[in-house]
Amino acid sequence: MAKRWQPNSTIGKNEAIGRRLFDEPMLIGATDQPKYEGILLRHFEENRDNELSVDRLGQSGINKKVKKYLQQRATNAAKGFHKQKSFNGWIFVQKQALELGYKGRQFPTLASPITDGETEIDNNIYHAHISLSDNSEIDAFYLKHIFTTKGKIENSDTNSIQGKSRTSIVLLSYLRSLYNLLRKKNSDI
Amino acid sequence: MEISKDKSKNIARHFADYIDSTPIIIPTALKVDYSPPALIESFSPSYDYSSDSYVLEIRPVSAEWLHRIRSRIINSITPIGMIYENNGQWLKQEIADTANDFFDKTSDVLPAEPFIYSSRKGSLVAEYKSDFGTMTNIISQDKVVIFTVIDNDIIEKSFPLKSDKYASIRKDLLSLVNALNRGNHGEKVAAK
Repeated sequence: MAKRWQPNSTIGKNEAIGRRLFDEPMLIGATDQPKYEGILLRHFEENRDNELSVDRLGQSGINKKVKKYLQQRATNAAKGFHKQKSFNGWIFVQKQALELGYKGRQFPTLASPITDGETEIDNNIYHAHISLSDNSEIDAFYLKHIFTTKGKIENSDTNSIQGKSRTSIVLLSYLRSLYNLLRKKNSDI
Repeated sequence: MEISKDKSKNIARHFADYIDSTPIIIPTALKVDYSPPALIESFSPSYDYSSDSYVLEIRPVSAEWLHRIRSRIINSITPIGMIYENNGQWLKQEIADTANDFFDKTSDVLPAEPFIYSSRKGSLVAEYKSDFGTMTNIISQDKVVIFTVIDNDIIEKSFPLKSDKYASIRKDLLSLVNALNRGNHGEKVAAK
């Protein structure tokens, strides 16, 4: 069995750099507004510091084994928020797209593996970060533009598992109602 | 001719009786409707109609969606007594006030009804979409940053949100929205 890709300390220009997408809460008074199809600026902002956390998803695209490794960590992180969120996947671009930037705004990405976690699941050898300026909202807009115009979305596996289980539930309830109907008919006869 | 004292008293009494019994007729044009002071105040604008400042105060016709945005913003203000937590669900009073003022003064020159949410820094973000691109407004307490993306080109503009700056904000917004509706290549509209 092939080993999982082991990342170098420097990020290759073709590496897939992904930003995790968690569901974001909406304004409490604006729940009636039509659904927004785009990616929110919030996905490219950090609460605490000026370093935007990203994952190195593969050497030249999405590496399935790396995705599996990161999936567990991302799902775990989703549960760790003050209000639990759901993890929906990543939006990713090649590293060179971030380095190239847009009209002089460049976003160099540096490897910053996490190895001092309390447990193995707290570690992330594929962790990297993008340094942001003091005006993080402006940076967030340009990052959003780069990721949405040059990147792709990789859905989380959890979604498809949830999707399957939802289908199973619907099927099961349909069979149950059919069984009840037949039983009622039999008793009537 | 000398008039006796009694006679002059009589004349004075008759004159007083005449005045009392005769109704006073006021020409209609001079009649003034009496209204209590409070009522008069509520109907009399404090503007000086003759000055230029009054002309600047005339508000444009608001967009049809303005009342919806206003109520969404107002309903998202952190309630009094609750500690503001920037989790994307609430807006600070100051941000809400600034945003409402911005929409009040510009709704007629904005592309469409925006989708609103809060940034992690607490600013209000408004997203618009048109046939040829998108517009994003980031409204903080003292300024608005406007990003317009037309055919993959970004135009970034920043304006301080002061009452005397709205004329220039409106002018710039109008040209940006025109570009959004037209695209970078005019022939696209003709081709549609």
